[in-house]
Amino acid sequence: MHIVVVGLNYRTAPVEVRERFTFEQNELPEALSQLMLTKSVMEGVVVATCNRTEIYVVVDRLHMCGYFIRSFMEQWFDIPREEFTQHLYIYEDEQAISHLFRVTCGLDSMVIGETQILGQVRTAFLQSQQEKATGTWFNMLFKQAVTLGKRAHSETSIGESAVSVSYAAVELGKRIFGMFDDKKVLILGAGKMSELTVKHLYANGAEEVIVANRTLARAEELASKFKGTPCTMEKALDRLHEVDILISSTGAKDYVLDRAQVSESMKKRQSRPLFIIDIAVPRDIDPAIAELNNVFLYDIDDLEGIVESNLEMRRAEAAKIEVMIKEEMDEFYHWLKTLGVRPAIRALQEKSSNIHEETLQSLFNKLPELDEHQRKVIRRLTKSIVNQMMHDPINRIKEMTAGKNGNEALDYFTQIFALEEDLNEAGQGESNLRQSSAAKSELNREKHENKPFAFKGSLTPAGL
Amino acid sequence: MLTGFYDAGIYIFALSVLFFISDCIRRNRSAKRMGTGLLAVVAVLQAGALFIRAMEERALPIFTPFDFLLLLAFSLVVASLIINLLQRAEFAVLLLGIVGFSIQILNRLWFSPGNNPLRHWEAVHGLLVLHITLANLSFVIYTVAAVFAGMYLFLHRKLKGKKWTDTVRRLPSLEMLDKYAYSLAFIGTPMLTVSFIVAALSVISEGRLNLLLDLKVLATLAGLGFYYFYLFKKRSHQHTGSLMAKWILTGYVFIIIIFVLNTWSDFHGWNGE
Repeated sequence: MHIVVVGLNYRTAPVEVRERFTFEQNELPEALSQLMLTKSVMEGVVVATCNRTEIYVVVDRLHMCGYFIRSFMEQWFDIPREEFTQHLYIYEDEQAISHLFRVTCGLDSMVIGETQILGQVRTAFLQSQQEKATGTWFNMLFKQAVTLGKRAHSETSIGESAVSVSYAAVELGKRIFGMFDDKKVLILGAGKMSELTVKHLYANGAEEVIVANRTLARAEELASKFKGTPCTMEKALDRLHEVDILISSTGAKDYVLDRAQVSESMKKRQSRPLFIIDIAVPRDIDPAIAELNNVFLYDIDDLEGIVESNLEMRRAEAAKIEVMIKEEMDEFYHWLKTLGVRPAIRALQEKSSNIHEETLQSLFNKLPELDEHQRKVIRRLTKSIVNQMMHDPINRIKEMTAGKNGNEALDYFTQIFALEEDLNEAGQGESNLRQSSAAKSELNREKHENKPFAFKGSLTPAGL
Repeated sequence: MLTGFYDAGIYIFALSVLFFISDCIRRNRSAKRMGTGLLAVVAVLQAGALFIRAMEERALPIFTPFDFLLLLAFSLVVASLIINLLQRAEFAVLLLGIVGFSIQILNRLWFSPGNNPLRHWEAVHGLLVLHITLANLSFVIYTVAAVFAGMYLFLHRKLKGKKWTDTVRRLPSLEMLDKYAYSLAFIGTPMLTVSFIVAALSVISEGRLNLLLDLKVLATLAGLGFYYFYLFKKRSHQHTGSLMAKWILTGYVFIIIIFVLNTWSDFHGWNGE
């Protein structure tokens, strides 16, 4: 069996292509159902967000599986494959697992280290699990991916710092003031960027927002969003000594605020620092103001520098997460190797338990005079002998299957304890179970045939 | 046994400081956890050493320079562990750790446990305990205040110079550093005042008024005056945070001088022998 991922994302496909490959929430159960009917597919999870659409599958063989998945996409989205094949990427096995882990940790996101994707992957997995589209492999792999994502965010600081100009201003403000609870914000001009910055500050608890604009109506419009106070530019400058944070983006050709004005207002507020953010180009605030005591002046270049520095820090943290990903992959492969040994161990335990029961029965038949207490003691002691005898072989085979010649060791183990028949019987039981659930799926397919989203016929391409 | 405890404390303290340095240079949560654990071990060893001294002297171990400094180092370690519970405390804990470690090393080099030279002063023993304990505590508090003031100046310079680094990201805010430094000075100054008053009253009650003109006494008065002036100016809200921070650091220099003046003081002249 193999793990494969087929998908497209913001790197490989522009938005006008990606938007044609979205899944509506109510379509997903049907899509998963159809995906499970695709040839070779044994388990499936669909991760569909605004920046990516990815189909994760467990297939019984690699040969042609990419072709089958593309066919599924072609038929589900009703788009000829020639139109989207060049945007697709396909990863198999180790690469697929690594890709899933990187996606969940936010390393493959447009903004590295973003946390939203973790929740999206988790939701996608839970939905697939609910639709019974996942099995042993994906139940383990996706749980591991989500846990890793949580670890990545709690053990590193990849998601901590601001990666947008507006939030960089907030982060700076926090270095100066800590909390914004009793802080007043003055916004000069009503540009989009300054509005966004004020929005963040207000969300972080700023006490009052004063909006000043050349047009009072526009100031009123913006102020109403933050339960703020609108005013004219002249009145705003009169209140300069009251505010703690000033955001300016007026679009004026000359400086709106000069050194003398700020120096005068600082006399009335000696001990309180003033944080000025000049987002305008050309600049609104005289750069000489930065030389004043207790005034912190940052322009758009400074904020972008902070964003770049934060991104650099996130990339450095990403290197730590790559190490964690490598460890998780080793753990998953280790688990996969031991997966094969479980049926054999179970078979041995059942066989030894049967032998124990039969022998005891024979003993009790030969010694009918034994009372209940004696039978209990004998049963307990003989069970202990059996368990102790089995203990070392079971532990050894677990270790050996995780090693280099694991398959060979498992083979010998099966032969030495003559477990072939028991394993065959167990295998037969599972196959019967699968056949009955396949029959159920067939029944479901017939039920869905007349629905508008369903497509008729098998998912195998006409050529086959 | 005392030497064993003390020396083990020094080595483990050094290791702890190294782990904190590692975390401060490059975020490393496991290094921070190790450093904290080792610091807790140091506190236990210091407490053990203090206990041994208490058993040897059959009194509170505060009367010799060795004991005083050991208690001081122990108080700084405990303060570090408490501050470590706060967020963005790594740098404060590191700086306090460096100060505490330096005190412990210097103590080992300069002084030895020795006998209590003040044992015969039975009549004023209780007052002396109070005087020294309060002086010790105020020293610790002023040290922490100085650390926060130093961090304030560092962060202020970085923000003014628009130098955005991982260190800047991890420090508490300017407002918080200013608030902590002020609060600590607000607590430490009355404590030192009471310590001074207790000692002064004790001296006056013995009729030894000439001791009030001792260098250490005068320096303490000057230091207290400085801190009270700082507190008054802070309340007036007329000065910038960086100026206030510089005053706290200058005041701390007074505190260091006050301690160093032990050697030149007529009646604080313990030689530790």
